[in-house]
Amino acid sequence: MFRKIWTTAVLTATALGFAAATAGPALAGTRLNHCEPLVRR
Amino acid sequence: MGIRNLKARRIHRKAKALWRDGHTERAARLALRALELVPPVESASVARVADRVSVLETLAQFASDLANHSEAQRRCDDALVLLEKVEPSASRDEWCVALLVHKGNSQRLSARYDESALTLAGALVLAEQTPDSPLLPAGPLNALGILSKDRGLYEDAGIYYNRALGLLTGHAGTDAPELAAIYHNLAGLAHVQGQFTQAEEPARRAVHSRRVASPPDPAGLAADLSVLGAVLAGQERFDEAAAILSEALALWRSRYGNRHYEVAVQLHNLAAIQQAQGDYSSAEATLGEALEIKRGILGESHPEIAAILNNLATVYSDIGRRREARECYDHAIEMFTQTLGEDHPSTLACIQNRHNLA
Repeated sequence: MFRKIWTTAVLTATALGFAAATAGPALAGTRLNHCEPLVRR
Repeated sequence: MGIRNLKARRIHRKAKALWRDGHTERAARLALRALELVPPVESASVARVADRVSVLETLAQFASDLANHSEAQRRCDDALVLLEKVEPSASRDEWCVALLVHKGNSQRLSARYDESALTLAGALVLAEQTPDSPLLPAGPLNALGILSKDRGLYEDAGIYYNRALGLLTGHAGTDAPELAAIYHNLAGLAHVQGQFTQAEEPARRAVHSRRVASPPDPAGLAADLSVLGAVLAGQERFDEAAAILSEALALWRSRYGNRHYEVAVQLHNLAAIQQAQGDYSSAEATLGEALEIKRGILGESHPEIAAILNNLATVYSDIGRRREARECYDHAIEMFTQTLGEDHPSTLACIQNRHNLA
């Protein structure tokens, strides 16, 4: 019985963890350009 | 496997928290430990590779934050290899798009523009094919915008950014925090074309969005302040610009120390202000510091090194050190030509500067 509960707990945690692990940055806008001067004469 | 994966996730979460708080070395060590706990497996199931891919993605981000672009690319490639074997699905494809954007961006920052264009084009194609992910193309579009800007293709850059903006405002609303990055980049595009007045509004919108974002994004805010400072410097509002750039510089220094890429970017902008205000000895010293940092990160031949050399040449020219000015210009022109091509606006500007010296 205990083994069944423990196994279920691990599987549930694994599933939840997987959901978190795959929630990657699907959206955009995380890349930023840099502004630096180019002096003209 | 379940217990090791749980442990890896815990350590991985801790690594990310440590990195956010600026404990970069400890964070990197923990992330590597998490990676060891989840060795590579070949599997058609996303679930079985998710933990390793996730840690690899984090390691790629750490590497990018330290401007170690070749390592960032390696980590992205390792993650993509695992995902290639997985059954296509929306979550797998979303992840591939994110990794391809990261890889393409690393290639761009290493001045490998053709490779970057191919990688990002692939990311966009995949994003547009992924069902039920209408916002997914915004990442590749934004990255393609930056690449186009760096290549001097300003009209293309504007088109890409506005497509990304349209997607995000259409689906996520005008106050979405993701818009901060697009406004930041639109400001940068106007800045590079010398449109400093037009650049101010998107630069301020980016700063405002970032200041009210939850959770806070101090690195993003520092980057937005950096753009705003550069824009105000372009408008010759030197005191305001210097104050904002100094705030950004302090943020970067406190996070990464004195030899970080972002520190060099701020120093470069501050040097231009010093030069414009006639403080040539400070400008020369500040440019020298920026140059040394960037050489250590980017190597000897990179368009950003050429830009600093060009600006150093103008300082030498301003104070009558013509021989040194000529040497710096010649070196910059050679570097711009090799890395950006002879028709790039930066190459042409540098050649014109050299011509005007003689």
